[in-house]
Amino acid sequence: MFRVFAVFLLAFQFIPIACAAEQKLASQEAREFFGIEPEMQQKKVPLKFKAESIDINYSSDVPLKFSVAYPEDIGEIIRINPLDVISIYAEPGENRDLTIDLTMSPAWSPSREEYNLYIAGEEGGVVSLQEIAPRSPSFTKTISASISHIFVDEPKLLSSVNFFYGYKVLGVSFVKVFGIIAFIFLISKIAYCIIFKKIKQISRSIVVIALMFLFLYDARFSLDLVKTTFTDLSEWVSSHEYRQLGPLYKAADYLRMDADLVEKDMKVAMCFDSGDIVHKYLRYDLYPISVTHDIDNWNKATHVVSMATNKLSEEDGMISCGDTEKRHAVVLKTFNKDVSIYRFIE
Amino acid sequence: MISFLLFIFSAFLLTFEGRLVVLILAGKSFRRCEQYFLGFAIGAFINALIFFLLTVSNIPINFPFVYLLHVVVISILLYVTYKNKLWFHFKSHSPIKIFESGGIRSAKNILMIFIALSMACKLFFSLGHALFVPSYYYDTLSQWNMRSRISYEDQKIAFDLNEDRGHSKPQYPILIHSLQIYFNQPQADWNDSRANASTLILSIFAFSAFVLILARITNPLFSLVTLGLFMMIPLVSLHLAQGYGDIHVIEYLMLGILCAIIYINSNRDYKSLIISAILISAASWVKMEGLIFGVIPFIFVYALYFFCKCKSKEIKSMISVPIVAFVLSILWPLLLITKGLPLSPHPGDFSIKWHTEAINLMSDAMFSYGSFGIFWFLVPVFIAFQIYKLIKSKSKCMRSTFVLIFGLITFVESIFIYLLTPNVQFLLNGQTFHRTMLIPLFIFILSIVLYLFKILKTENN
Repeated sequence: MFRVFAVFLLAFQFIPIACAAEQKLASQEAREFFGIEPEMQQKKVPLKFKAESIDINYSSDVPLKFSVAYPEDIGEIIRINPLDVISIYAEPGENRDLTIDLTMSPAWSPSREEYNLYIAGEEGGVVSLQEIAPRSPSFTKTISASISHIFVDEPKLLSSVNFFYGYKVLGVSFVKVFGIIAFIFLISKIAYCIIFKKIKQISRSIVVIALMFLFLYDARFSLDLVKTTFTDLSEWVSSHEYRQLGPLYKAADYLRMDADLVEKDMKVAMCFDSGDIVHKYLRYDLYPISVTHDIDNWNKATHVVSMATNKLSEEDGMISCGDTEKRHAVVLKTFNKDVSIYRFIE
Repeated sequence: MISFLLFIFSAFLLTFEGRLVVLILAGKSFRRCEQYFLGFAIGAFINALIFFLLTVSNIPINFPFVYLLHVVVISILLYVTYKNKLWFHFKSHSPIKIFESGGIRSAKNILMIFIALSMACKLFFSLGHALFVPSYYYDTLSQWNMRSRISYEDQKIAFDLNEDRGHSKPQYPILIHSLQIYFNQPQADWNDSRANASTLILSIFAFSAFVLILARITNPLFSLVTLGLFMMIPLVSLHLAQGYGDIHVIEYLMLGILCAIIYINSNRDYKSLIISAILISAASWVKMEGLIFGVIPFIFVYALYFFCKCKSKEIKSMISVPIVAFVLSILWPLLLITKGLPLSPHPGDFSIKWHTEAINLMSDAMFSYGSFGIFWFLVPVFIAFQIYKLIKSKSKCMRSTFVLIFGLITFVESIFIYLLTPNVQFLLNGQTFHRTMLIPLFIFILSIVLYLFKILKTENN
């Protein structure tokens, strides 16, 4: 049993963390709108044991977020795939118990001995970990994990058009394992036909084997495609939002409507932290309306779209984004999930 | 409703125009249904050439000019068709039997059902994302749909050297852009779903033509299984949802290769080779990859076939084919040179150096990542089997041999580009390697199918 007695004071900036008891896998959350990332400090606790889950006993006066990453040793580099990280939110309290199921991530395997546990919380919080106890991997849990890993869907990312990560089971590429098995079957069949002088059967036999394996893999991938389509279509139809860009589409529609009401040509400035894709999309959707995100065009802009950022500051009817000048503005519309539209009034 | 009817009319115009080209050049080599499906692909290419002509002439690219030129082209083609009485110039139709007798107990019928189910899932994904959700990926929102939209608004092809307006890569050829603009021109304004629907039709028509032609070369079972195999490649489903040009390069290459096979099958009706040359060069009008992975290997394989099979007296008619492919594909690079634009969007592409750091990543991309499923584990076994049989066979100049050589050339080119040039960066960051490797994979699958059809047919007899 592994015990950690650590009392530490964490200094954070204040943003409350939404509490949820449900454990989540990063690759499945990656398709969601990112929202404003609460600024927190976090502490890393390296763990060195084999485990299928860990039982934690903690005390905290602030909500916490526990995350587990699965480091991979590649030569001289330690690499962590952020998509394999699992996380769980924990409520504050004294001597509270929490169990983290490590097998949820496809990077888990019963032979894995290294994990990184991250604990994140708000400013001023006092957190202590009384106990971190691993549960040794069991055979039944390994079997159920390997089945559940096959059904972890491909992450839906902007990079998916360039490549797919592929399915992973017990920390190993499922494509590689399944492909090697298929290859062995093919070679074995060819060898069998040659040895037993059934040369004429070779073509037909290897076609059947290849098709069988291809169909099996395709069945899994087709399921993924169908689920993705239902999710994407239902999200778009019901809420006019789509994947990581969230309510940006609604913001674009609103801006187009407002363009008819302003006297001068609309020029939109963007204030955001996230990747450039939000700028690219808004610029495409609103073209030929100008959409920029640099400081130089802030002063010429007629509107601002603030998207999931802490950079926008608002005081006495004046707004600025990071180091830009403060300008008078009114908020036109606030969408849920941290997206707002302002119009400059000077 | 009016918008939908205008869309259908625009599609019909291109299809009809392209079909006339097929009728005139090689009507007897294709069935009527094949002519129509091929027609849209060729019509899209003619549309790109019209946009090219307007660009070179500094004439605005707007609805009246573009559609007027199409009407002029169609009028000329109709005149030629009627003058030479080519209207009924098509290969006689033989019924296509998809399902065999024997119902659900027939293994072939069961295979067709699985293929149909698999393809239905892919079509559901592709149609749903192409038509009902917004464009989403980086390149779509910069060098594809974004450039099309800017060009549509400007009424001329955009060649911006910076991304101030949102478009990048002015070197890209314009077949896809011109198609998207063409379909949006009769309408009140730009519509993203309409732009994606226009290229979706290209995919549907191109693969339909592929299936019909291959069904005639082999049989319906092999043809549909081949299409099913193509769609089982995981990355293909995503690209069929439109937004990128890579799948359209492949569509034109596959059609071009099949038309060349028709020539090989048909006792030297070389006019189908002209169609083949047009389609191969059309691939270079989608992306420059079409020139490197399409036109160059085509000319090489064509020359090889010519030395194997043709008589010297045929040289005059045969030399026109690579000339057509070369001339059509060189027009866009020439325009870039006159505009002072580099041919490649990636400077320094031509320095040669061995990048050992990329070997592991290349191996991972093909055998560990999910872009290709397990195809790269299986295809080499079949290719090795095919090569082994070929070496032992007396007849080496089979149609599948030339397709295999085509595939090997594109495979070697891909490995060379990503291991020995600065393009290694696009393997290291995963941006283009997986997409590029789809080309040799498609060609290998086609080669394997053609070869297995011959072998299994021989074994059955």
